[in-house]
Amino acid sequence: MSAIATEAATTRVREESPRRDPPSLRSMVLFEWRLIRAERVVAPIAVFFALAVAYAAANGRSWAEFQRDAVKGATVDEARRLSWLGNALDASRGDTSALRAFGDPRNPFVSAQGPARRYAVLPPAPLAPLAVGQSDLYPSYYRVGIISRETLLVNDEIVNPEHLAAGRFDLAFVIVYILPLLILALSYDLISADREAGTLALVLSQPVRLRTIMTAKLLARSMIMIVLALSVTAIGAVVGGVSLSAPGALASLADWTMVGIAYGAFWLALAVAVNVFSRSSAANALALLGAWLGFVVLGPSVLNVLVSGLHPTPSRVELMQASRAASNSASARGSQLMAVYFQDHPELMRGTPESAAEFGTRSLLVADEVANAVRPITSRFESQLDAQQRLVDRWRWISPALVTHAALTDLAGTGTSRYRDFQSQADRYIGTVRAFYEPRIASGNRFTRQDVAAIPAFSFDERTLGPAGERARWAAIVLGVIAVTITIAALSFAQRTAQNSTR
Amino acid sequence: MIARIARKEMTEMLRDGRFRWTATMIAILLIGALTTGVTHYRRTAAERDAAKRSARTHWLTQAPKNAHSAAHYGVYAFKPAMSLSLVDEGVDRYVGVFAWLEAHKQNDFKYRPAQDATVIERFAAWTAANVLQVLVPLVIIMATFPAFAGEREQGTLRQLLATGVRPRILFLGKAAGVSLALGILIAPAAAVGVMALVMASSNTTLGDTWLRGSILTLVYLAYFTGFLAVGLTVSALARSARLSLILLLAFWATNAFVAPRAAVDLARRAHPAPSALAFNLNMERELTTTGEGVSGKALEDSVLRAHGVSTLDSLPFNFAGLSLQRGEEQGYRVFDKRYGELAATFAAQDRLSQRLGAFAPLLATRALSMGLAGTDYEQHHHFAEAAEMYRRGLVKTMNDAVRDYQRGGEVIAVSSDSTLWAKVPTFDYDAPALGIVMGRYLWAFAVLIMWLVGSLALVATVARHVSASTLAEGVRP
Repeated sequence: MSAIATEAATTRVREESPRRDPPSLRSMVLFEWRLIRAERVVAPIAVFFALAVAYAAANGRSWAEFQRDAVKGATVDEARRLSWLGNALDASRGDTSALRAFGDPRNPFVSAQGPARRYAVLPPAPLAPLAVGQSDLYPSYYRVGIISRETLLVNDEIVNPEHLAAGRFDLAFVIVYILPLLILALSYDLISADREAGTLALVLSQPVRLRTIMTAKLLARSMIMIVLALSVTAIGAVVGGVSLSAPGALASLADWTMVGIAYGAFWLALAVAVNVFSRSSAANALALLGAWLGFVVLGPSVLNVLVSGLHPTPSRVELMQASRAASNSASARGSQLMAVYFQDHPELMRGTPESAAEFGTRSLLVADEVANAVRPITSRFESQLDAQQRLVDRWRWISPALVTHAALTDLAGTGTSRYRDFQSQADRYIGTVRAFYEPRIASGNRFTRQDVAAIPAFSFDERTLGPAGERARWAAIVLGVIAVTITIAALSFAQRTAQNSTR
Repeated sequence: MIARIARKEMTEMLRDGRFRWTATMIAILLIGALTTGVTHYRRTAAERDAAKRSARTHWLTQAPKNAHSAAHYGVYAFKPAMSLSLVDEGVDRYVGVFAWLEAHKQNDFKYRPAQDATVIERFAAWTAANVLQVLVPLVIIMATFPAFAGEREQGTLRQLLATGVRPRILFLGKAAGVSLALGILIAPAAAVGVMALVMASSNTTLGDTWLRGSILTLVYLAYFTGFLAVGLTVSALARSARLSLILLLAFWATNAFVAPRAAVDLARRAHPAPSALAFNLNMERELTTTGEGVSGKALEDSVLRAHGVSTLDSLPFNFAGLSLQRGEEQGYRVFDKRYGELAATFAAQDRLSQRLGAFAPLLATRALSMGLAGTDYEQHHHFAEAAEMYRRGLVKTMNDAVRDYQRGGEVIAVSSDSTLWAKVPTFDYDAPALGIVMGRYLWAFAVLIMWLVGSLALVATVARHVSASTLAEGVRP
């Protein structure tokens, strides 16, 4: 098939230019395009890719909607509770009895731990439907009380753990895993097919250089690759339901596309290089598959083992035991036997051994003491995770797939950095809320509707998307430079060995 | 003749640098994964054992306090490590490690190890199961794609057929040759696997581990055999080695990478789970509504009426203990319903994914592998349920102590000590028996057997019916 078509193509070139000028690159690219179109595999590949992209985009959309609904549910829940609390406080304005330690919203400590809890919500970034990333592993909202540990520990999203382990079929997956396979399927026999069919010798007998032929083949495939990458963006934006009017959405989308194209260019360049250095089509396919496995699967796994081996996070089991021991001693110091009982069961308190204000303050103090005691371990978690992340950032360049995956999820706002930033902002917000309540609890004053209105609200300070865009552009530039360098080197090598390459 | 063909095939493969290199690489990866698996297992097992002991000590040595306060103090339950997790970690990194068992609440398991890791953790985990499920089929494909197609291109197939050898014999010989070569290369890894098991299973019930290990081996053998059969079939029918390779690789990539993720989203949509927020809010609401009527005045009145007395102090037992226990029991209904629904949803999702194994055998194999290794979601859930039962027992013991300690309605003065703490037994967990696990994976077994029988039938049909001339030429598309 390919041989006949090439022959037809060269014949036509000859007819068009009787003086046997070398054919223009443009016409060669067009011929190459016809050849590719005539290949039987192209139609199924295109259909498969379109289906995969559409499926991935639809998945991204449904997941983003699921999360948006959850966040909306949080807002509704918060509004309902706060309005109930305001009314309840108004209704009890005439009640002058002493504050109770349990079930009494007039007691600021009770409200702070119960009906007045506001949510810290991480709003999904505009490109969230494009990559699920870590958004199924980390919580994107916290119901904030005044004790940090209790707040941050509570809600992991409900996802089938087998699904977490398998990963999701989103557009980032399509780009990182599937796009290279398609590019390789189209280009593993870039030159070797013609060599095996015997047409390469024929073509080279024309006044045309091997380098030019390869350039034409490469350009035709580059265009296909770019179209594929653009279609991912377009379908992702439309089917996935990216809100383009959101600030920064278009810029992020442009960065996303550039990263995809640069990543595709890398694989195309690799295919060219392998075609120059290697012999048979089957050998090329195996070499490229090896590269795919190495870059996409093995490289990251080995890096993972190294990273977690070099900077192991301390065991959570140990953390828990330390915190248990700390809370034992804190509670023992802080209170008498009976008081401990009330700490657990204030609703049964009948005779009041201490005021509700004292009880609230003491509870906070005990929580502080526990937090202080386990801080060395928790901060070790942080520092080890930071060290791991730095190591990953430095070594991710061993795998273009890792670089691309990190860039794409960061652009979508579902990468680890944004979630950790959210967690630290939420933690700081807990501090703000606590500073708000502390004097109110200690004073023993009643909680009022005005207080409810004054509870500080959380607003997420978007700090990671900007740097993510910058890093993504860098990733695109570096991958692009690597791709161009490989291609130029391969093409010049091909020209030097052109004599041998027909055999 | 079969032996001769097999020997030729095996020798050729073992001499082929490409195959040798890849297979060695994979054997090294497998051995590496098993080694890290053993290390990880032993560390985890030691840590969890120690944690379990110290949790018990914390419980027994707590200061004298009110029995119900002790129930609030509670204990922590730590998931024990499963010895076969060194082969297949399953969902271990995606489920919490421990739960706090306290009064009134069924708590979730907290701290999924994957949350304490970087993003590459999710990119690819290097475990023996992954090597077996993803990479070994690739080696099989590399060994089988040129079996006929390659010889056809070299022209030796025609010569071979000219000797009058029957295609069936050729198929059998080639299959035997490829299996032998693979066997030689996988043998060291298998030996390491057995050693790893011996090292790891020193402190568990050996018999069960060995039985599970053997079934696991059969599962993987069935999975591999299917690939061998499909590989030979495609190689026999494809016109060129190139086409044969591309077709097989497309199948491999779909099976190993596309299908598992595609199945996730299909299952999630077919059986949607609630968001954590909705789940928790619903539960809170139900706990409040069912709590009404069993505590407070209503209960007080009905108990007083039943005992024919007019004040709580004249009851023959302590009312608070009864009231607390009633409250607990109301909670059980809500927890059982809600957590039960969630577990049923996950189970339905996993069953769907096993059935999709009809299109991608990896799905069925993975499920069986996790199940036999004891690292699937079902067994996590089983542990969580056992922990919940233990919690209920513990809380009831404490509430009964409150009830029986003294008459009346006040509980403030109640104080207990270690004799009461020791009444709560240690939490000893027994993993579900092998039979139960197998019963849960009937679908996966059925699908895997279908894959094995189907692929063997395919290759047998081709071997029986293909004519020498078709075999010499390949099928024209």
